[in-house]
Amino acid sequence: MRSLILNTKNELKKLIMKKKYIIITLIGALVCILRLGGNVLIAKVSGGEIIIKSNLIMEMLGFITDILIPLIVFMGVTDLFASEIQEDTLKASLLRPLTRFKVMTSKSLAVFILGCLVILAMFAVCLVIQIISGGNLNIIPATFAAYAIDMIPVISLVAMALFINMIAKSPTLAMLLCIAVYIFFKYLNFYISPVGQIVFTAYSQWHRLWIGSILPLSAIISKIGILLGSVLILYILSYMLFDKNDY
Amino acid sequence: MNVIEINNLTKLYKNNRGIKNISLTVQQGDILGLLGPNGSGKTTAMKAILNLVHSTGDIKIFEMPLHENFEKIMLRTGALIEAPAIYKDMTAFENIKMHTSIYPDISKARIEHILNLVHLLQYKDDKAGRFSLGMKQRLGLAIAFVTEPELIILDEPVNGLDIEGVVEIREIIKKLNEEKGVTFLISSHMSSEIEKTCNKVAIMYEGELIAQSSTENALRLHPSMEDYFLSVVKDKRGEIVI
Repeated sequence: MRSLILNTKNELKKLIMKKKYIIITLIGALVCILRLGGNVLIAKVSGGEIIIKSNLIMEMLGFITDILIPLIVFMGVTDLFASEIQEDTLKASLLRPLTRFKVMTSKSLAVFILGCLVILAMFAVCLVIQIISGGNLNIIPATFAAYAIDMIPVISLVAMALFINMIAKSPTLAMLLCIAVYIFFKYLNFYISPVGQIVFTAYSQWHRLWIGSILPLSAIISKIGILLGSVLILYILSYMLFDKNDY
Repeated sequence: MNVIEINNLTKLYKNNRGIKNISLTVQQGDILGLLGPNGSGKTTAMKAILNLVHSTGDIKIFEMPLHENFEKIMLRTGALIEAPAIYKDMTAFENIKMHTSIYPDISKARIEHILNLVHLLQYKDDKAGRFSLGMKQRLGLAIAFVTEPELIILDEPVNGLDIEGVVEIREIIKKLNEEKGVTFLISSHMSSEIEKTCNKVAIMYEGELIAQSSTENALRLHPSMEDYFLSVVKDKRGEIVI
């Protein structure tokens, strides 16, 4: 267990040291600022007649969970698997006193943690903007809960990207496939509703199931089952491929 | 004690190249050199011993079956296989720190000592991506040495090093062997390197282990390691040895 935790820290450090993750997070923050700027601009142009009183933190959650986090997760998994295989640095992890299962698990955990950290960072940015702009602060506990709940389905994105990285031969192909498959599932969810309901990526905004939801408990349990089941199947398949490979 | 014991080790790739039925024993305190031409299977054999490739046959390291005891074995083993696995975005120090973080009790002083040993201390804060081939090789060797392993497996350790570097690495290997009793398994296609560094030699040719001897015995019967190698290979091919 100790080696798993220490290697997860190692893998997380590898990701955080890459500037692109900081840049993408900053771009995300900029989008939030521009969103607020838009509200202020509308108020100014209309001479104060149109004032948009909105919960910016909650509004931005859709952008964060549907666009920003998938992008970061796909890049993270591709950096730690397909890129490392191509650059021959995966060998460094495999020559440490760690089983292949621990190597794969620690890398996956690192990407999951990175996703959660970005969600928290974006919450902090939106919160600051909300405070500065004099928005309603009473909704903050519920909003924070929504952000926290939306960390759970990040695990399904990690599992999906992991499986794709095991079958793709290059980092570019892995990244393209991750995006294509993700978009495909999103469309499936929008347009083929009965099928979309059983696809794990349909729940990127998971807080909708929990906060203000009228779904019966049995339906929520069924959705949790679909999510966890999908993750388990993808994780086992990925491990089988990871373990089978020669490096 | 047998530090490495392998029996009937076989690994064949799709093109039917690889290694076939290799049996080999490396005893504690040995510096065993795997000598063979390019493509003879030296790297594949080392990768199989380190579980980087899947193989058939029995592998025991420190008298423990490899697959069931991989973590315990790797805690006592250092390795450099093919090109050094180095993170380009990190400094030399960070690369070693990353490797050692899951080993108990590897101090900053120890990392600096190893960097000094391979003459990289002055470059410890430089990004490894900017290193020359020789410097990367030195860093790879530092990673293999830093955890004070009892067994070190080195694949073409002097690859990319200048003459001075080759001599220095040879001296480090001998010093670790004599002073700390470290066992080495080294591969090379340069017979002179094996002759100067190793006390035992195993000849690999076309995926097979065709001869094993102590360096002393090989040199008693042949003027040089090169002659020993050529004699063994020609014998294998069925050619007349002059």
